[in-house]
Amino acid sequence: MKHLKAVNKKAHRIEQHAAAVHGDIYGMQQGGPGGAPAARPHYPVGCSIVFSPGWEVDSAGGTAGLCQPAERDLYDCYVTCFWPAQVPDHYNNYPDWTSKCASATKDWRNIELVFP
Amino acid sequence: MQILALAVSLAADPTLMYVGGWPKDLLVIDEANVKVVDHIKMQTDVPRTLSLTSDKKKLIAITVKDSGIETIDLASRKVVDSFLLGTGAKKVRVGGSALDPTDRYLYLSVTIAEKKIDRFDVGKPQFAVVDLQEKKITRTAEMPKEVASAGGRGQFKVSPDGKYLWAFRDNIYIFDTTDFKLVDTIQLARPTFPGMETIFLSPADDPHDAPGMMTAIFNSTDPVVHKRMWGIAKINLATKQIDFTPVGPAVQGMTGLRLSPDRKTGYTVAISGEHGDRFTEFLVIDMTVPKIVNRAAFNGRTRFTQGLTTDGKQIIIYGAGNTIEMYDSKTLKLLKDVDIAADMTTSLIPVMN
Repeated sequence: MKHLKAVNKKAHRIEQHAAAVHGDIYGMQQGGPGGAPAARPHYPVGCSIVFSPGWEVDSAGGTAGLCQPAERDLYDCYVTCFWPAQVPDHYNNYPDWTSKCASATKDWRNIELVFP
Repeated sequence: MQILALAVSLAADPTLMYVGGWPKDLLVIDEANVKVVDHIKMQTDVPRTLSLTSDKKKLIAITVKDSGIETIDLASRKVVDSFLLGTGAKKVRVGGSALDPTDRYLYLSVTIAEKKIDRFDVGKPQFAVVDLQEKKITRTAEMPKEVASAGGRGQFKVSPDGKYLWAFRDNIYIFDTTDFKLVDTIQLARPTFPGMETIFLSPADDPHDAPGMMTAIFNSTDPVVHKRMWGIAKINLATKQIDFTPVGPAVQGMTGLRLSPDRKTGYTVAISGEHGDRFTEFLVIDMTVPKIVNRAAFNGRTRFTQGLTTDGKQIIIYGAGNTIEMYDSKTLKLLKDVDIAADMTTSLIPVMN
């Protein structure tokens, strides 16, 4: 959805320039506009394209490269990646979201629900 | 009678392993039966890094939230000291750490972010010295960009005399610990060592390494046909002498090297392929030659760390997750797979009593 619309000539030129540089929406397996298809899927925001806890893909776009079961990896979104997007923000607002769950594989039902 | 007394003594003082675990614990594990015998509750947050002091009586833990520093007394199994480097408005992210030989100073690479009224001001990665007695950062220094890449993350080591800080990156950079001036660079990207055009070093922190030494896996290419190979690097942190010995053709990935207590045998894991075709294999290396003397494939989990028991008789495969696999270091067969009921967050540190 576009929230901003170009209304004068200069804004139109900026819009055209941005489209030329960044292209339009394209499939993640197609590479950039006019370019050769990428050998691997392109994930613009790291290991996941959605902000859904526990959902991620490996560098090939599948799940074979993830920890098995995937819950083994859950806490590392926070510990290793310092990335609070996939899990509750342990650093600032929800430091105790795992206080009742030592092992995500076994006790994931005890992970605290967070409603930002 | 003496034998009986010794047996009783050994029974009373088992060799213990320590590993950080969720939510905010340091797990104490009996090495003999891989059983969790105690949980030490951390004061500040989940531990991410553990450093064993030179007298092997304490662990220094760095925790994640607000970068807490905690000192754990291993005899009493208690946190005897803890403080925070960060505050609510000042976030200190630790990228790497090394404890000095006196166990008083902790050398860190840190990135400090300060919360302003409308933004975070994120600083550049820098060196920081934490005085564990004064419980604060006492010195900071600018970090060269070659060392500061990736947020200053990477392996650090302090020389046995405490005078130099070694930073292992694409090259090895050696800094004077008094003023953090760069005093020496050992070229790995364009090495002067004969028969090699580039070197990638995988430094490890092995408790069985000789004092002042670091033994590590390296990858390299020869300058003639550019064939990739791996080998053993022996680095003397006191004299700055490095010996590289090629062992075999390079594989896709290898874990850090673990040495047996007599340092005659080394253990590593070679990883090739990826995802569904991933193949993991133990390599046993005769360190006196060095050459591969045994190998065996095993079902390696996607992400793991390799360790070795204090007697060198079992290979430990652990993290990510809540299970520890023990393999016989002679037969390379799986002995047991133990659930410790906590996801591990640090390296596992075995400490001989």
